[in-house]
Amino acid sequence: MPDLYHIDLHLHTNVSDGTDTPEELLRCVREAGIRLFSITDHDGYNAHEALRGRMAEDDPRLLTGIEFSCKDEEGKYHILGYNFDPDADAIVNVVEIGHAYRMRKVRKRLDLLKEEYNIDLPEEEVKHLLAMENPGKPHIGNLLVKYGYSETRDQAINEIINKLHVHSEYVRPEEAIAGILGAGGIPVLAHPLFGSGDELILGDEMDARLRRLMGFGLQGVEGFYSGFTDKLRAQVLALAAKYGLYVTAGSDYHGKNKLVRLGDTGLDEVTEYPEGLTKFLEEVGVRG
Amino acid sequence: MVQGKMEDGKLIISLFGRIDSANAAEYENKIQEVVQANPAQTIVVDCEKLDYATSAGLRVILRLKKSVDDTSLINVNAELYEIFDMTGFTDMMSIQKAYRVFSVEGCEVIGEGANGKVYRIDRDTIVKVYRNPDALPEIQRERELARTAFVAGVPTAIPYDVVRIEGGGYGSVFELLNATSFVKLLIKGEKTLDEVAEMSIDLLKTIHSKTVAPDKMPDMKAVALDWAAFLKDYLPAEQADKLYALVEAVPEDMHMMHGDYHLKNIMFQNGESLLIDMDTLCHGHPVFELASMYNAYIGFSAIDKSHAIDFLGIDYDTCCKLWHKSLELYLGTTDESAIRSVEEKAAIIGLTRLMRRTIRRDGMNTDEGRQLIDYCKKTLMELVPKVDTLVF
Repeated sequence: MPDLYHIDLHLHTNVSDGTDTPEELLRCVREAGIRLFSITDHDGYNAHEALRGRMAEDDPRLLTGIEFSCKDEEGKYHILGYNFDPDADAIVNVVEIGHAYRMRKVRKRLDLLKEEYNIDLPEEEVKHLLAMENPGKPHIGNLLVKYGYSETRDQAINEIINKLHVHSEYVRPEEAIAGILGAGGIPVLAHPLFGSGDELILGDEMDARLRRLMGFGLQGVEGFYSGFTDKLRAQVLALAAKYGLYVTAGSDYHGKNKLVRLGDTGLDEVTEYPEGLTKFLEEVGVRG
Repeated sequence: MVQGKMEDGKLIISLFGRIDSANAAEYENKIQEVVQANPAQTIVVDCEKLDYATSAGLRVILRLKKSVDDTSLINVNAELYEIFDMTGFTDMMSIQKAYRVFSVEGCEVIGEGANGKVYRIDRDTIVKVYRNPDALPEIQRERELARTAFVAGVPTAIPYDVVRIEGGGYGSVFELLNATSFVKLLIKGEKTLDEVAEMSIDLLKTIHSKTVAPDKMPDMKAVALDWAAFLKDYLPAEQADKLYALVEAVPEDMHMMHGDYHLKNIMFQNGESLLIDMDTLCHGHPVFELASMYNAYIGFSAIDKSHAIDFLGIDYDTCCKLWHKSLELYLGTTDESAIRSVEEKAAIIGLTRLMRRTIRRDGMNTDEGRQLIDYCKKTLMELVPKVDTLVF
């Protein structure tokens, strides 16, 4: 069974903060021998739209996907959505809310760059930026390098962009989960234990967090993740088993931005797929 | 942020500051630049100047380990080490903690055990310095033993930190408020000999009342059998065989024993006795414990009486009185012949060990060594035929 399906359900393209175009990513997925994949760009699924109709018959199976950045009073969460109807209003609406928040933030950042640093980017570039699906710090950083305000993108982000005080607005986890469910999809908590990326949430605290999200309708956890040690993976899988949740596997590949290897999920470390993963594969129509 | 240098074919990468999701990519790129400029099979990441890493930072380390399998971390601060431990990194790769460096120069020696010396650093801090310069596994083992004893209800000080000792080696640090060693109480006249003997025997009985799981501590009888077997080349066959048979006939016993019990290994704190030296903890019949006490008080000083004052800080006469009083209290009798009989059993095992130890430490080639070996041999040849059992 483990050899049957080489999968990676957590991938980013340049539609969000990855570096590969959707076509480049598809090429990499083919080369890596992956049979089932999902592009989970932050707060949008235009990459999926871009590949629609371009897949060959013997291509790996592509599952619709998204990774919502959410926040509420209790903390931050990345919530993955899989196998939803991309045209359903339920999810389109949440994406639009998220997109509006993000565009507000980008505009605010551009305003502050002008006010505080007297940085005025060419109108053409600003227009292009605002036309992107999900512009963010990396894209603004690239422009600051291009126009000579910084040596590197990292420097631009750390020394200029991060110093701008911009209030962030987030989609709430219950909104994201309801949107995914409303579009017939499966909501899954990304990299549990790591929160939105920096945290380390273990033991009872993780258990409570999971129960809260399950109360909103969460159905799965990313049990296999490139950033997990054996011990962390075991914790997540134990929670999945305890609550009968779906289990997914993803690398969080970002192209050249991070050194995550495509397909690095830790699935090759186990001899048997946990029940939650088998069930997930069945649910999305992949037979074991 | 990141520095790299080659040392003996290994790439040493030093990390500085704090890694979090805002700068993880930058750290990672810099690490990769260093790795590509210095291709190596082995990477040692020096974390001395790494203040903190969020889980985004942990993933940078994880990816480095995935790209070069032989990657290890050194000088990891206590807080980070705990995180690496909780998250399973310590199971997956070698991670060495950063140790504080202590100097024991000029510090008072307040105790001495089989494997090291105990110094007082300041009023409330004592440190046990191990003789073995590479004592980390030993320290770990002793800590486990101390924990086992503590959980079983034996008053034991548990070290709270491991430090590097200036000039080499490692030490375990204990916080002991207002503690004095038993031997010091006696020397300073704060307690009488009878009081000190009574307190130490009370504690000894507590230790001997505990039973231990077989895999937790070594079996003293097995060790003593090795000693007896060794003497087969040095004693007449009849005595040697009987000696071995006597040890072999001691019944298996799962009661805890200390293994190196004397006044220098017991501290007195707030009216209570507390053990500090736990590396010799084992299980067995109490005769083995009495044998090691016999050596500490009597056997080691059998030829050179000044040994007592050098080792324990009390003279030989006082040692003899302590030993006698200890036996009296342990056995709960003042009957001299009963005490003498147990003393002989303890002496047989004690001197067997002492004779072997002296031979193995090149004693045949020194005057004092030869005298001690002769004394052990003579006494064993006199006692072994007299005794039918080592059990009491």
